[in-house]
Amino acid sequence: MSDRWCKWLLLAVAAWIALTLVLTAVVALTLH
Amino acid sequence: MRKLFLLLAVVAALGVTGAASASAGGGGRGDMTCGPGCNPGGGWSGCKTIEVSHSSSLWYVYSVRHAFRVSYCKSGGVITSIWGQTNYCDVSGIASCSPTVWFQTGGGGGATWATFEAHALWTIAPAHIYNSTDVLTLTIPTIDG
Repeated sequence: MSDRWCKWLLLAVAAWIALTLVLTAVVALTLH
Repeated sequence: MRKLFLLLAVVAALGVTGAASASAGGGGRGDMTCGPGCNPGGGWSGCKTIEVSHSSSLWYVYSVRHAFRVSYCKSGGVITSIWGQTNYCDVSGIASCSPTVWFQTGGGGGATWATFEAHALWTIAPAHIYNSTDVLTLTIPTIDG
């Protein structure tokens, strides 16, 4: 059970970091 | 003798016509509308506020706008005063932006032009994984009005 939660938490953090990086790239490319 | 007078009369008439044509041509050029590059009478006088900005947005996710504003007065095309320099950001959503520094990079009071540079630090909140700087350049143009 604990491993399962840990896995989901890790996935959520990874997804948030990926989303942040994608949005950062979008801003960098479109800020003009 | 009569023919000579006639010839002189014809030549004189042609000369007058030519002079009239030349005069009309000159008058036409003088009446031309003054275009954007034209600066008659020593330049523009007055005051105005100008602004430059960079912006980016994604609906319902973020919106960021970095702007720099300056006010100035000119007399006869020469800058007499510059004031109200404002470097600011408008943000919404998960974007974050902080105006940092601005400085004058050329020209100014006594000149016909001036240039400025304004910086801001932006990031995607709240992770703040990566910060980036946005740089704006603003020019008070010589040809104004």
